[in-house]
Amino acid sequence: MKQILIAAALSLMATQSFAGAIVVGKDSPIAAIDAEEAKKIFLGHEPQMGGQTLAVLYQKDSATRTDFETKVLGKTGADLSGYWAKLVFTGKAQAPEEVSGDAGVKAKVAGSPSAIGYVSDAGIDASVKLVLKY
Amino acid sequence: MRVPFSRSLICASLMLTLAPAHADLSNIRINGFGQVVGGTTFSNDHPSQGYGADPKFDQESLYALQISAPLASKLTATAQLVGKGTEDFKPKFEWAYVNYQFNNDWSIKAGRQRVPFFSYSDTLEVGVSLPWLRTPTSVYDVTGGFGNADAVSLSYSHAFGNWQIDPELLFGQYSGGIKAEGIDGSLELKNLAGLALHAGYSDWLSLRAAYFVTRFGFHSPDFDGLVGALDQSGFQGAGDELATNGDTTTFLGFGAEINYAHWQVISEYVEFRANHSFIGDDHAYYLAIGRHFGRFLPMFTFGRANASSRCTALSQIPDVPQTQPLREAVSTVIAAQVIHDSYYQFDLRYDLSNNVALKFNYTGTASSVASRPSSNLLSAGVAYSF
Repeated sequence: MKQILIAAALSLMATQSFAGAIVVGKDSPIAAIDAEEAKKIFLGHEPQMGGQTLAVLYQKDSATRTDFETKVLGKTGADLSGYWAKLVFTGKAQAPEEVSGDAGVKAKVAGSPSAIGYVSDAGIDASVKLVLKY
Repeated sequence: MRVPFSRSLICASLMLTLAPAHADLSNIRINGFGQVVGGTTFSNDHPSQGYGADPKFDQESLYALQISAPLASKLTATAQLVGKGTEDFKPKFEWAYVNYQFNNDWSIKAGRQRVPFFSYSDTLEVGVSLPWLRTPTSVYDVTGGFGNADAVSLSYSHAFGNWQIDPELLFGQYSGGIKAEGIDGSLELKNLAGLALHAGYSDWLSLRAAYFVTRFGFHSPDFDGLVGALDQSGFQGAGDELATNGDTTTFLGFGAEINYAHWQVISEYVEFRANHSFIGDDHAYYLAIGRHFGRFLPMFTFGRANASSRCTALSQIPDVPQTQPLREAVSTVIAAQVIHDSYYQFDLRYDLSNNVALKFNYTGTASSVASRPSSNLLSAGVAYSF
């Protein structure tokens, strides 16, 4: 019982420390989005927003990525890879671009108004516009 | 999922041939997939899927590269280059099309593309995305391996509450070689037109229906020789009934899939009807049930394929001694169309990592048609994507 409690406490801490946000560049026309929209965008169902084709960014394998996928997308790992393989190899969607860490996302969104990505809580700063906190 | 531009010179030269001079190369996507599969039937008397007693590794092994280049806002060019073991891994453009995405709902695609006959048509060769080692033979062999067409297709995709509705309209044509049941011939499909409708509910239910109609033409030296002989002997009516001179052919398919609480249940039913030709009327189905245990997915599939012939060619040739050779040849062709086969398939998939899967398959086939041998096929492979 004690072990379970410790595990639960640890996982709670882990979840809290890995919270993050979906971000876009300062001059992006995208304002706030809701969780449902976020899921659609990051699962390739909504390739365009405000008339422009979105450039969706994923982080390379990291705790931030796993956390984002679990909380926002509801699928991760082989499940998510299989999902994307289906979309990409049927031409139904473009694979997201993979960048390194929060810094990679921030650099990309700063340079492109159509880019959208996610960063960990620690990565949020004035260089980006926050559109959804998860 | 993305390969940096500098990784491969081959990729680079491919992209250069596809990309317009002004395209931003950093936006070009290269993805790939492939598989290495080996199999044996333990006995040479009972071949299956191109395998015999001696283990073979080239029948289903393949590699593929997909290059996707944004040409303009909303306009993308995509090419898929596939090298198959059965063709000495010579790369061939399976797909080459441009896609224009009007908005989040509507898109139009023009060029060589996959015809969405089946639930898994689009990803037939992408082993890593399939729960099985190969799609169930009973249903997927109905089109005799044909799958691509030069076509224009209009797609719509929209969510209505918990329902995601995706209809696709396609119009096109195809001419090329086909290998069906060991016959090497050529196939010509004119005015191929149809609709595939997919509806998904929440994340767990998926339903689809597809209907296609085409003018069908099949030619091979032996077959054309027989039709020619009928014509010369004054049995043109019989020749016309046997030949596929652009006769109307229809395809109807239904599919359902449930992914719920670790369980995966998949089923498809298809019908193929060819009028006024030797080709049999096929109907086939399968039901697959699997359960995820962490990285393992065992799945059992039962399938049946039935085909009968409505060809009336034989009745138009009088039954007299002089016509016996012709009658025999015609009835052999027609009899070869008759199928009553059952398939028992056991698959085990293990996810080695997110984009690599190990797969094992045992397929047992039994037929109530005496000339169709029963078989046991054991195969294993590794499928990947990058």
